[in-house]
Amino acid sequence: MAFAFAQFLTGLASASWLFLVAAGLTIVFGVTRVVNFAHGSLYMLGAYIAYSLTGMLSLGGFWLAVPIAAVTVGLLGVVLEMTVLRRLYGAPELFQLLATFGVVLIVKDVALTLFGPVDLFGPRAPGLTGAVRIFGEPIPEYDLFMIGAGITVLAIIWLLFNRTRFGILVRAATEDAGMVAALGVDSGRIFTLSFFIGSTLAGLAGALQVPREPVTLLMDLNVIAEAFVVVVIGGMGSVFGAFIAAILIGQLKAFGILVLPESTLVVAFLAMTVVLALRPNGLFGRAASGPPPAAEIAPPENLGRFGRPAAIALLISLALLPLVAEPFILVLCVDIMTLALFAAGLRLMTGPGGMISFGHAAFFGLGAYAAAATAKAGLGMVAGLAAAPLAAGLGAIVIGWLCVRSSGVYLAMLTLAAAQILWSAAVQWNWLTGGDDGVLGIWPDRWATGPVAYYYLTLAVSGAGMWLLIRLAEAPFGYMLRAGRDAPARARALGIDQRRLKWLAFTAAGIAAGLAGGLAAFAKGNVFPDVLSIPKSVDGLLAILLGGLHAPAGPVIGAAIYAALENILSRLDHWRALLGLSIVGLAVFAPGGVGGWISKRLRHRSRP
Amino acid sequence: MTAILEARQLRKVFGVTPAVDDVDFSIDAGTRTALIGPNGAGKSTLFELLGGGLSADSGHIAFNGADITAWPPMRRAQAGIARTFQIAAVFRSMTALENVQTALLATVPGGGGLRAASSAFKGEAEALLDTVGIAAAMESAVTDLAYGDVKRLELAMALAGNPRLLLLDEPTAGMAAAERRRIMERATGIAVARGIALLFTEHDMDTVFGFADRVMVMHEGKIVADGAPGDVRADPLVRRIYLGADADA
Amino acid sequence: MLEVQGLAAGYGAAAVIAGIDLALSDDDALTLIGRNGAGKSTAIKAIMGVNRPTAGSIAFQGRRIDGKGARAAALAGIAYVPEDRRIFQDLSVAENLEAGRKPGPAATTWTAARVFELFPEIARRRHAPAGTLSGGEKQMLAIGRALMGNPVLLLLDEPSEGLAPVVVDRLADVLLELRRDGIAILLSEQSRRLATRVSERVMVLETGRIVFSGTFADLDADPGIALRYLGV
Ligand SMILES: Nc1ncnc2c1ncn2[C@@H]1O[C@H](COP(=O)(O)OP(=O)(O)OP(=O)(O)O)[C@@H](O)[C@H]1O
Ligand SMILES: Nc1ncnc2c1ncn2[C@@H]1O[C@H](COP(=O)(O)OP(=O)(O)OP(=O)(O)O)[C@@H](O)[C@H]1O
Ligand SMILES: [Mg+2]
Ligand SMILES: [Mg+2]
Repeated sequence: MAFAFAQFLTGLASASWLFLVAAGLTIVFGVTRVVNFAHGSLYMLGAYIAYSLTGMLSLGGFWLAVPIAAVTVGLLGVVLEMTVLRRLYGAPELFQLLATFGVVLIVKDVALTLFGPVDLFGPRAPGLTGAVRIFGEPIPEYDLFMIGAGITVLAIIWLLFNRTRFGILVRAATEDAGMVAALGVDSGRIFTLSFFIGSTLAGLAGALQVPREPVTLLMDLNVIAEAFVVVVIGGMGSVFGAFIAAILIGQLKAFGILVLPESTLVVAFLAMTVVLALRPNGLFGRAASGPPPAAEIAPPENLGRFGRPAAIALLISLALLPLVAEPFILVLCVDIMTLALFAAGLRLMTGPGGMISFGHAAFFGLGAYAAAATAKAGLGMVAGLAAAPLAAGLGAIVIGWLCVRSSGVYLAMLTLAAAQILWSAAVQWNWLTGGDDGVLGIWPDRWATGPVAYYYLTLAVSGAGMWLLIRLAEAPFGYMLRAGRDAPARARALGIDQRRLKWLAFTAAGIAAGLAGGLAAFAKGNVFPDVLSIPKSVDGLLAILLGGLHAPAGPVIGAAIYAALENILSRLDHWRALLGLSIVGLAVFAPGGVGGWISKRLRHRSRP
Repeated sequence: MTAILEARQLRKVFGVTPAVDDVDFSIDAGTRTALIGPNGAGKSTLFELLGGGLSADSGHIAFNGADITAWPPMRRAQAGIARTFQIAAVFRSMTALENVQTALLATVPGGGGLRAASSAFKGEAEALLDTVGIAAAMESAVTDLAYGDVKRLELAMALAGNPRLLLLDEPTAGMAAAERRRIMERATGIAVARGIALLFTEHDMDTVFGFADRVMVMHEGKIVADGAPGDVRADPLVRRIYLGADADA
Repeated sequence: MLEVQGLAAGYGAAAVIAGIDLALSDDDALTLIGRNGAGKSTAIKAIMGVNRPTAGSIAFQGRRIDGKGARAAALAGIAYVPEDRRIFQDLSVAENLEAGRKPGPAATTWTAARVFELFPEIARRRHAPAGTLSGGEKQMLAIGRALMGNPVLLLLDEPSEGLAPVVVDRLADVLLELRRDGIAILLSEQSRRLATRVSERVMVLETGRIVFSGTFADLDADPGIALRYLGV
C-alpha cells in the first residue's frame, strides 16, 4: 500500500514534468495550428542553458538559472516564430511537420557545436536535496516540488486562456486572424506572444529536468514523442486535456515499469491507440472546423500531353542505362527506385487521400522483414517478394482500419505509433528479427544476382507498381477519393463512402511500401530495425515534398533529387544543419516541389 | 397522390431545448414545398434529420415505403434523397465537368475499375450541366466560377443520382434578385419534368410565394401552419412571428 | 466622413473593381447593389483594408487609411460585417461580443446587454459555442459584434441574408436609429426590404464600375437601368 502510494507520487512527478512540456506544445498548436516538432529542441536548449548557467552563476545558482533559461528559450521561440513558423500558418500539416523537423536537425547541430557530445550531469536542486517520509516510504522533495509546479502552471494557463480578454482574443485569432485584425486587434502579436508562452514552458520543463536526468543531445526527440502522445490523448489544443493525459501516461509509466520494464514508450503509444480508437479527436479535442487549407486540395499537377512521352523516354533511358553506367550507379538507382515506389504509395494517400502518415516505415519494414523471413525459410526470392507486399498489405488493413477513423495530426500520430511499436518489437523479438543484429544474408535467386540483373528486376517491379498507383489516382477511385478530401459532407450526400476509400488508399500505400521494403531487403542482403524507424518515414515524406505533393511524377523526381542531395550533403561538415536548412527552405519557399513547378511551366506553355 | 416522404413524431433535442419537437408531416411525389419560419425555428435541423447528417432522438422517417430512420447519409443518397448545402459544397480541386462526373461515378456500385475517370459519363455530365444552364463553363475550375454558377453546379450534382426527393437549404441566399428567379425556375422546372419532390427553406418571400405550391411554417421546433401559400400568407400567427407588418408589400 | 476616390482592387492578378468614387458624410447612408460578382464585396473589403487596394485613395475623417490594413481602419472607428459572417465558431456567443469590444475610453453606447436586447434570439444562447447557432442567429451575432466596437462608420455586407423578415425590419429600425446618432452606414444588399428603409442613396455596380448613382426613387424612375444592370 505504502509502496503503491510512493509509486503513485513518482508517477505524478513525472506527469507534472510531462505536462509542462506538453502544455507548451498544445498551446502552440491550439493557437497557431502549427504542429511544432521543434518543441523538443526548445526543451533540450532549456536544459543545456540551465546547466551552463548553474555553473556560471555563483549567486542564486540553479534557482536563478531556471527562470533565465526559460525566458531565454521563450525568446528563441519568438525568433523561430518570426523567421519560420509565421510563413507556415495555413500550410498543410505535412509541410509544418517537415519544416519543424528541419529545425530539429539545425538545433541539434548547433547544440553539438556549443555544448559538445558528452552527457552532462547537473547538480541536485539546492534546498530540495532530501526526502520526506510518507507512509514510511521516502519521497524526494524535488518530486513534491514538481507536482506543485505542474498544478500551478495548469491553474495559471487555465485562468489566462479562459478568464481574460487576452485568452478570448487568442482563441479568436486561432480561428480567424484576419477577422480579429478587422476588430482592431494586433493578431500577429497575439501569435508571437502565445508562441513565447509555449516556448517558455518548454524551456522551463527542460531546466527543471536538469537535477533529474543528464543533459544529452537525445533529449529533443525522446521528449517530443512522449509529448505528442500526451497532446494527442488530451485532444490537440486542450491544456486541461494535456493535464489529464499527462497523469494517465505518468501513472502508466510508474506502474507499467513494474510489469513491463524497457517499454514505457510502447505502453504510452498503446494507450494513445486505445484512446483514439474510442475518441478519434482525443479526450477533449474537437473535430477541425472549416475547410482544409487550399494548398491541400490542389488539382493533380500532371504533365498533360507530355506525360506519356516523358514516361516512355524515362523508361527507355533507364533500360539502356546498364550499357553505359558503372555498377555503383546501378546500385544507387536501385535505391532511388525503391524509394520512389515507397513514396508513390505515400503520395496516393497523402495527396488525393489527404492523409498524412508519419510512420509509413511500418509497412516498408513489414515488407522487408517478411521478405527476410521467407528467404531464411528457404523459400527463395520470388516467394519473398510476394510475401513482402502481402504482409505489409495485411498490416495496412489492420492499422488502416484504426487510422482512417481519425484525420489530420491524429492520423499522423497513429501511424507514428504503429511504426514505433513495430520498431520496438523488431528490436526486442530476437528470435524472429535478430534484434539489433538484424537478419543477414538475404540474397536474390541466382538469375537475379549481380548489379545489372537486380537493377532490371527492380526497374520492372517498381515501374509496374508505380504505373498501377498512377492509374489508380486517375481512375474513378482516385476521383472519389479526392471528392471525400475536398468536401466530405458533399461526398457523403452523393453516397460516397469516404472512410472505405481512405482505407483502400491506405492499404494500397501499405502494399507499395511493403514491396519497396522487400526489394530493398534483397538489394542490401540484410534487414535491421532501422527499416522501421522515423528517419525512414521521413525519407518518403521528403521525396514527396521535393517532387511535389500533387504531382503524380513527383515521387520519381523527388526520390532522385533526395538521393543526390543526401549523397552530397553527407560528405560535408555540419551536414545535419545543412539538410535541416534545405528542408526548411523547401517547405517555406517551394511548397509545390519540383514536379509542381514543372507542371505549371508546361501548362503555361501548352495553353493555346 | 402518394407520399414519398413521411415523418412521424420526429424529435431532436440539443441540451435541454428541442430544436425539432415531435414533428409530423408528409411530402407527396412531384410537389414543391417551402419550409419557412423564424431564425432558430429548427428548419436546418429538420433538414439534417432528413438527409441523415444528424440522427433523430425519437420518431420515424419513411422514404418511398422504407423506414430510413437509422440509415446513414450515404445510404439515403443511394435510395434517392439528394440535397444542396446552404453554403454550396463542391469539389474544389476539379473542373465543373469533373464534379458532375464524380457525382455520376458515385452512383455506380464498385466504382468502375482502372479505366480513366476523365472519359466516364462525359455525355451524361454534359447534359446535366446543360440542364442547369452552365454548359459553357464546363471546363472551368470551380474556383473560377461565379457564385450563382457554383450553386447551379451543386444542383447538377444533386440531380446526378436521379433523386426522388431534393432538399434545398436556402438555395437562393446571397443571390441577386434576377439570379434568384432564374435558378428557382430551373430547379422547379427540372423537378416538375422528372417528378421529383422538392422541399426547400428560404427567407426570401418572393421565392417562397413564387415557387412553392405548399408552405409549412416552423416555430420553436413545431409546425405551426401548413397549407396553400395564400392561406399561410394570411395567417395572423405567421404574420406576427415571421412575415412582419408589410407582408404583402 | 468617408471619401473614396478612384479605388481599384482585385485578387492576385485579376482586377475586380476600378475607378470607384464615393463619399459619405456623418449620418449618411449608401447602398451598393449589383449582380453577383459585380464587385460589391470587393469594394467594401478594400475600404475596410481587408484587401489592399491597387489604386486610389481612401480618406476617413480627413486621414488616409488606404494601404494601412484592417486593423488601422478598425482602430479609426470603422466596423465591418463580412458577407460570410466570420464569427468565431469555438467561442461562446458572449465571448464573440467581447472580442468585438474595444477597450479604452471609446464611447460605450453598445454593450453586450444592449445587443442581447436587440437580438433576444441569441441572448438565450449566450454561453453556447457560436458554431452551434442557426444561420440567421450567426448573422445577428456578426452584426452585434460589429456594434460592440461603437463605430462611427458601419460597413455591412448583405446583413439581411438569412434573416427572417421580422428580424430584417427590426434591424432596419436599429440602423435608422444609429444614423440619427450620427453614424454613417455603407451597405451592400440584395434585399430591397432593408436597403430602401435604411438609405435613400444607391449605387449600382456592374463588372467593377459604378454605372448608376442616385436615389432609389431615381433608380425606380428609370426601369431601363434595372433591366440592363440588374436583370429585373
Ligand atoms: N449543435 C447544436 N447544439 C446546440 N444547439 C443547436 C445546435 N444546432 C442548432 N442548435 C440550435 O437549435 C435551434 C434550431 O437551429 P436551426 O439551425 O435548425 O434553425 P433554422 O430554423 O435553420 O434557423 P435559420 O433560419 O436561422 O437558419 C437554434 O436555436 C440553434 O441555435
Ligand atoms: N477570394 C477571391 N479570389 C479570387 N477571386 C475572387 C475572390 N472573391 C471574389 N472574387 C471574384 O471577384 C469578383 C467580384 O466578387 P465580389 O465578391 O466582390 O462580388 P459581389 O458583388 O459582392 O457579389 P455577391 O453579390 O455574389 O456577393 C467575382 O468575379 C469573383 O469571382
Ligand atoms: Mg437554417
Ligand atoms: Mg458579395
